[in-house]
Amino acid sequence: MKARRAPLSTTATAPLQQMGKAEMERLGAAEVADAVRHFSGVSVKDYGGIGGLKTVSVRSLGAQHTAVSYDGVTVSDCQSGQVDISRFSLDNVSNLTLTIGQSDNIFQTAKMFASAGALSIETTRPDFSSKPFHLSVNLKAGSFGLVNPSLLYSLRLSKRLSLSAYADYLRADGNYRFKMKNGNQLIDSKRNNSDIESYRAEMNLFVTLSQKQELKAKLYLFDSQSGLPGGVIYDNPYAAERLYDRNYFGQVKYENHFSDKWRLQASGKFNYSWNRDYNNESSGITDDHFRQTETYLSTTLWSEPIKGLSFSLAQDFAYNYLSTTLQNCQYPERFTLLTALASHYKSNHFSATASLLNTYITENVRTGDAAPNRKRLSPTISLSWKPFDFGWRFRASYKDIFRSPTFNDLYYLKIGNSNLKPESTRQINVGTAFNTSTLLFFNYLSLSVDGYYNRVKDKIVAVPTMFIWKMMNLGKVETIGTDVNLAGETDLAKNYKLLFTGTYNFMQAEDITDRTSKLWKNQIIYTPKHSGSGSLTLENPYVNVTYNIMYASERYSQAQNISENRIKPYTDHSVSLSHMFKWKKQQSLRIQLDALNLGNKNYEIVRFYPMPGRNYKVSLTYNL
Amino acid sequence: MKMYWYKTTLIALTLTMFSACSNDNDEPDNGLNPIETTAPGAYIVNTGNWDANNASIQWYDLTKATLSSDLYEAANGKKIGDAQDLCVYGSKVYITGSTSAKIEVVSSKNFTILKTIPLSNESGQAITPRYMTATGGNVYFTAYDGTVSKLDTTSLSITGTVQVGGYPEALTNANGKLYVNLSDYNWDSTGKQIAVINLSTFTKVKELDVILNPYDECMTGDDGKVYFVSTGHSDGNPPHTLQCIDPETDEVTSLCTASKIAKKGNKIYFIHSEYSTDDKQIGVYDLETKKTSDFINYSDISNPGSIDVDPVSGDVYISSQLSKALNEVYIYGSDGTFKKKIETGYYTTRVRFRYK
Repeated sequence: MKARRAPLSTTATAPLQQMGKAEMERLGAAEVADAVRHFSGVSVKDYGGIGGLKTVSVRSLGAQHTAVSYDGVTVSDCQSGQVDISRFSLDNVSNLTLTIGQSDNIFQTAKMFASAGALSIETTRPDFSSKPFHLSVNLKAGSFGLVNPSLLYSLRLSKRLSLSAYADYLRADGNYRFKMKNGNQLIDSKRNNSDIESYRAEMNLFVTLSQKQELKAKLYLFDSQSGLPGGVIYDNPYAAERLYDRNYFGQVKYENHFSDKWRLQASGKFNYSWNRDYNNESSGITDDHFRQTETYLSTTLWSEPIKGLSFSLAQDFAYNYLSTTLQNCQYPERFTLLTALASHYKSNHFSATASLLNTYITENVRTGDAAPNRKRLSPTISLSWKPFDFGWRFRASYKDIFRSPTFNDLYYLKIGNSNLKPESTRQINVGTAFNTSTLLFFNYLSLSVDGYYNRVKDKIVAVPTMFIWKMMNLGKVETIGTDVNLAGETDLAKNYKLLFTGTYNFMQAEDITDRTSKLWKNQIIYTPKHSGSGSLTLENPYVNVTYNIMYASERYSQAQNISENRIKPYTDHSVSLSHMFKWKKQQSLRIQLDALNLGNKNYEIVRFYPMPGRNYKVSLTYNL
Repeated sequence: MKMYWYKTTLIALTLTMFSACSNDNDEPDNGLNPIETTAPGAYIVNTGNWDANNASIQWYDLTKATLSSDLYEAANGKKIGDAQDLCVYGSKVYITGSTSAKIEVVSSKNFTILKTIPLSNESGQAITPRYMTATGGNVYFTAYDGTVSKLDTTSLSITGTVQVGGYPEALTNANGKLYVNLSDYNWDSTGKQIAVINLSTFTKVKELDVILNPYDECMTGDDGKVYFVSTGHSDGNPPHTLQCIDPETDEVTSLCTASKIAKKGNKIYFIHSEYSTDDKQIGVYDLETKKTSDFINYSDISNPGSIDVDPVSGDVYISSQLSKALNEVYIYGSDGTFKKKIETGYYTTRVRFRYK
């Protein structure tokens, strides 16, 4: 079973990492956040527990600068600007791709050009080469009352029509024991109000209209209810806040390969999100409702007039609307027009990608002032050069992009500021990537080293004034870093294979807003200077064993780098055991056992949100 | 079965270097080291950031002009959580922890805990205490469940509760009554009264109509009158206004625009800072002449957040609530001459003087 990273990561002009289903299983990942943690240059902000909020941030730029796409269309939240990746199950995912900077695949929506980094989630496309249907039934169970059955069914209806359907249910109590110290005092307690119950369902339709045309349609549903335990507050364990989330969307994608030289793709999506924040405190009950809709259309035309030189023109339109039950809701609506012109050149020794994105945003509100119209041009250029005939490349890239202020930044109660400018980022990356299948005893070995320099300007931060906070463009951050990625595979003996991966990240992200401030050149909040991960898998005919490790050095829970704000470094070790039983007619049963956080330390990623100690999971997958 | 051990060892060794990096041996605790707080001095109350458990209380020794570290942590080996208000009464110091849902009673000598009083209602919900005032052997505190409670300072137990409604904030006592700010916490323009509680019956006797949103300033001056500030919705309409109540007649009069106040004799030192306008001033209101004058330049201090005056020397202490960094307190003479700047903790909101 080959589980190496695809060679795309070596030939890419900007850092790109991919993970296929086999590797996800090998690493023991149960949800998207688990898998993403193994990518380098990325941090997952985790509030602990099964139902907790988890967001992805590329190179400490923040979750709002990282796009998340699901089968080619971005998932967006105009209210908070960040995507909670804990809602995506891995059971029907076949591929995860992380791009830092700009991807070389220019046949994409314009929105995919519009972020500093992007995480692409691709679901399984059914393969009917051996039989006309597939069934996969999975059951996960684990500590803290976790039960998660799921079902994936695909069926070929005719030569041109096939469908796949996915459904899952997840519940957990989530109230794990934890230990935390307040000076000399040991807090030995249990999280409370951490339960979660969610339903997920997805249906995909694949239509082959002709030899050149294809249509894909998707319907998606997500419904969850969870308790919000909040952070640990000294001497007060009371927590009663509940969160209800409902998300429904439908997306359609049409692709036409006119010829070898011309292609067209068009997508449309409608998204409806509703959430309810309920709290019952001694001061009374608060019950806030939020509703967002998005209508999205995109078309991309691609052409390769000369072999190796291709162009694309992408045009996106998005309409976003937010309504809340909060006081003085302004009911903002936003019209976004994105146009991306890109070109890609590829030869045996050299490849380059250049793109120019034009963004135009206009907003309306029912009451108060709307943000002024915004128009910006964002360029990107990246190159890759292979000097020799074997797999060793050098790469360099530059990307200038921004993120718009979210509806919260602009219009939330009194704190919002409709005059906010976008937060802009400039990234420079220089690196080298090497891969080989012929070195020493390795079946496969790849190594990449990238050095980068990022600058964030007009960072949107909340600034306190007398009695009220205000959102302002007041931050400047300068980041210098290095990402090292290693992956390899070797045969130890017949039927015994060893696979390993390792990442190391150095990241110095400093606040350079005000030279006279106490925060000058302080490492920004929650950003470790050193972090890394590793995995070692032994495949054999009996039981496959994987050992995983994750490490982060000290970091600070507040902006000022003083000892009282320091969070200890942590190491998270885990072990996975798995075996697949196979029968005739392609039936199989895969059993996996995970022992997570072997060190049993309640480390914190976000201060006062302790992670669960040692816990276990078992997963059974039956495939037909 | 041939095992290539050297390959395995090489790779395993490379990867174990990650696990060697963490050293979880905490430094051994040094034991408790209470700081003796000899009067005269001032307690600097650092309320702490939201949900960050980083409140602290420091002691500024007025004789030596030195500032201590966190008194609570030094005496008790742990951090307090959050500290909303601090009240010195008799030989004890009382501190309300709003999000920690408790009242801490500590010794005024060295801040060792005498009693920690957790606050919850019959349904087991945490109660959020806010501000305090003390008189007649009791400390009275407001809470967000709309109550004012009476804490007996001898038994250190709660002996009574009165419902005043709404979100009561700062309060004070004068002429045998409690005057309680009923704030407009929800910004729905319903919070514009002061509740009056008769101390002998411990019942609410009336509500006084005042300017919208009386909030965190409510004090009894050395002249026996009640001075409080209403902050409206911070949009300049109404502006932040200092008002006075005569506790004999319960008549309310407006004095001048102000956001935070401190009184000594005929002078009320104030910070005025409106959110929606450029009205910013650090000045003095003279109760005799009824005129306002500048005290220092507003721009000399970054985000001035609180003002207090030494009742003996007349020195004025103004906090600089720096965003995300440790705050500072600027000390001025009564004539406005700059004396000293000290670095305090997170979100400094009050300075309480102790001369005994």
